[in-house]
Amino acid sequence: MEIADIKKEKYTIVEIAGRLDTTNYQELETNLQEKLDAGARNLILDCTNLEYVSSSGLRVFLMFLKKIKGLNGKFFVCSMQDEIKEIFKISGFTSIFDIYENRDQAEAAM
Amino acid sequence: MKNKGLGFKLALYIVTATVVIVGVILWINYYNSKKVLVKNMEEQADDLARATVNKIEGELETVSKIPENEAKVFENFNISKEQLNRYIQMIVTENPEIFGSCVAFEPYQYFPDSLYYAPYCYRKDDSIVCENLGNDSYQYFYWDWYQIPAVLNKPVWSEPYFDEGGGNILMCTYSVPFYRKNSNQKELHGIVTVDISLEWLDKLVSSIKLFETGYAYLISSNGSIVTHPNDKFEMHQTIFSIAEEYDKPHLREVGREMLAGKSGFTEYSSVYTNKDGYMYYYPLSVTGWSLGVIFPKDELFADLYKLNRSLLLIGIIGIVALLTLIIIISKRITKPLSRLARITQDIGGGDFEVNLPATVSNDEIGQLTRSIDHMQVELKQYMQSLKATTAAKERIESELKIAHDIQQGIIPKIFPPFPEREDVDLYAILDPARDVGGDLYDFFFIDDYKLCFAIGDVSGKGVPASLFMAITRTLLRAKATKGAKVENIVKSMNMELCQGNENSMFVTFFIGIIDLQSGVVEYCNAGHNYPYLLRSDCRMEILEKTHGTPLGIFEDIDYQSDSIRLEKRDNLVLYTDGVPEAMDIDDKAYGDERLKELLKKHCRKSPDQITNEMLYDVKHYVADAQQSDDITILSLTYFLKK
Repeated sequence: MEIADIKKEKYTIVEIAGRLDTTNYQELETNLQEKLDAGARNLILDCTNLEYVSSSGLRVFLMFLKKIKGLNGKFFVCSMQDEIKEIFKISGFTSIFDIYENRDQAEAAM
Repeated sequence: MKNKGLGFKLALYIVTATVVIVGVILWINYYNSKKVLVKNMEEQADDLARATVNKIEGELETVSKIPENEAKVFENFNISKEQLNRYIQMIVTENPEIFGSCVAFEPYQYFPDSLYYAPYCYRKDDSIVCENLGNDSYQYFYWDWYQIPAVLNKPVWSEPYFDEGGGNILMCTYSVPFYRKNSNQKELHGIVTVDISLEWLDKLVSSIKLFETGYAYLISSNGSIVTHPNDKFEMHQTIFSIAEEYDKPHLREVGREMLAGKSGFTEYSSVYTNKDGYMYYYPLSVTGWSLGVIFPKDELFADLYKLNRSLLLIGIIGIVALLTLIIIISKRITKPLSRLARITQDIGGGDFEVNLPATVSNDEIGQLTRSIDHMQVELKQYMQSLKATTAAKERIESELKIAHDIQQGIIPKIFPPFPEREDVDLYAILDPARDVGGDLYDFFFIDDYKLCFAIGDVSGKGVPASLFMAITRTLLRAKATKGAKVENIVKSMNMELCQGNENSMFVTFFIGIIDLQSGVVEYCNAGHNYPYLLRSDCRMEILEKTHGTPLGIFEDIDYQSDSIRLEKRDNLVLYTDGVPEAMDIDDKAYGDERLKELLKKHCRKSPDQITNEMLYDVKHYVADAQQSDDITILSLTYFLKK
């Protein structure tokens, strides 16, 4: 898994690529926690190149969704591949996350 | 060599190198000394031969003066027979170096009536005997000593010969012709001779002393051996016949040089002493003879050999001393090394209390000793910490093993679970990826005809997940009471699980309650994988409904539910994502399509067969890759009650 940041004025876009599973979910957890600690409040998770996400990965998504909401921030997810969409759909996450088809839409919503 | 000690190797290398160096020094010394020695000897030989030749020539010259003087007397004076005899006798008496002397006259010249007249005096025993040489059996004017000077008209030294009928010994004769004037013509009147015995020449030549076995020899102008320490060579051999007999072509070359009146120095192996040596040759101008001087190599170089021998001895003693020294030094060096090797072995064997020898020196041995000491301390500490770690790990492992047993114990494990019932059959498997897992399944009767069954998957794995799983399962048993609706069971479970869930753990959960009288299943899916329904005619339906998010996320969620009716022999298959997401070695997922195909293939089989076929196929697919997630499967077949 690779994580890349694009910092904008009011939010940060986090690009996640590869597989997010039990072996590396802590990496993402640490990365996002550091952003929150540094004062970031608005995040867009760009999943264009995210190939797989396990339940451990979903837990990280969920954890930061809750944390950011608790801080009155915005946590958007965009550009999910069909497989990821399916996982979100089955687990019922579609209803609790703010999901956008592409990054432009997510940025517009920010 | 590989197994020899350091000391041996050190000694071998140094001694080998030293032997080579000493050898080279000895050889260079020998070579140079020999060169100098040979040069000196050549000069010495030259001097010696020249002196010898001078001495011989001096003697021969003295000898040759005698007949020359006599000839002058006989050319000018007529001497009576008695006077002549006395004269000759006096000559022989006065000159001890000559053997005999003769005055031989031409036929009828001294006495007109006598063919022969040649008074001859020579030594016999210790006195001097005089006689007339000429008679019919000794016609002297046919002998070389007479004929050659007569023909050549000049004094001649004869080749050595045996004077049979004359002196009866081996001799050489110097013949001087004398003449009388007859009507202004010079006519040969006779020949005056002096004889020298080869014995005398021999003594002269052999007085030249050359080391122990060195010697000199004389050859005549045609190569005959005049004197030689080997008497057999005298008279009977020439230098060329010896060269022939002993197959020495080099000697033939030397002979030619000698006859040509040249002097020279050459290496030569003596046929007489059978020793290698050098030969120096020098001509005698008076007689046309040549002197050869032989120096034996071994005696010549005796001093050199002796010197080299003592040098060699010194070298050997030096090397032995060096060897002893090396052995002592290397023992001193390798002794602590061997001890350290033994100690290291002991340490390797697990004894960390070995006492190391006290180090005083700061050399490599000292450094090594300190390093080993340090290593021992480090190893000891490491072993202690490893022991502690291992103990801790073992404790955790044994605790995990217990946790595993407990976890396996809280899910129903007895199959078939309801052997007395004919309306339902059920089978389930939970295969954790680690000792303990986050998957769960459960089934139990709420009342006589209502069977509750559930499957769940906690996010993550291991101990945290297993604890969350145990709570979930406990909540399920607490909430699924008689008359409770599935959506309400799920809702209240969710509320409880959200309490104090700091880590945002969640569990995907599917619960169904089947009324075995009607076959109707009421179910609620909280974010779990869609179950498959295999109809008895092998049609496949997917319960593609999600009634809410997984449990543990948000407290205030309302869940819905659905219902479906099972017919006779319909089979419901529930599973966790460990099945479709099982990875092979190339990280490719098992997938829903493969699962569907497999289920269709085994659609008429019993729950335990279907379950085991699924597990087997997944394991087969994963093969050597590590199992990445817990795998849980639950299969239920409904038989319509009669």
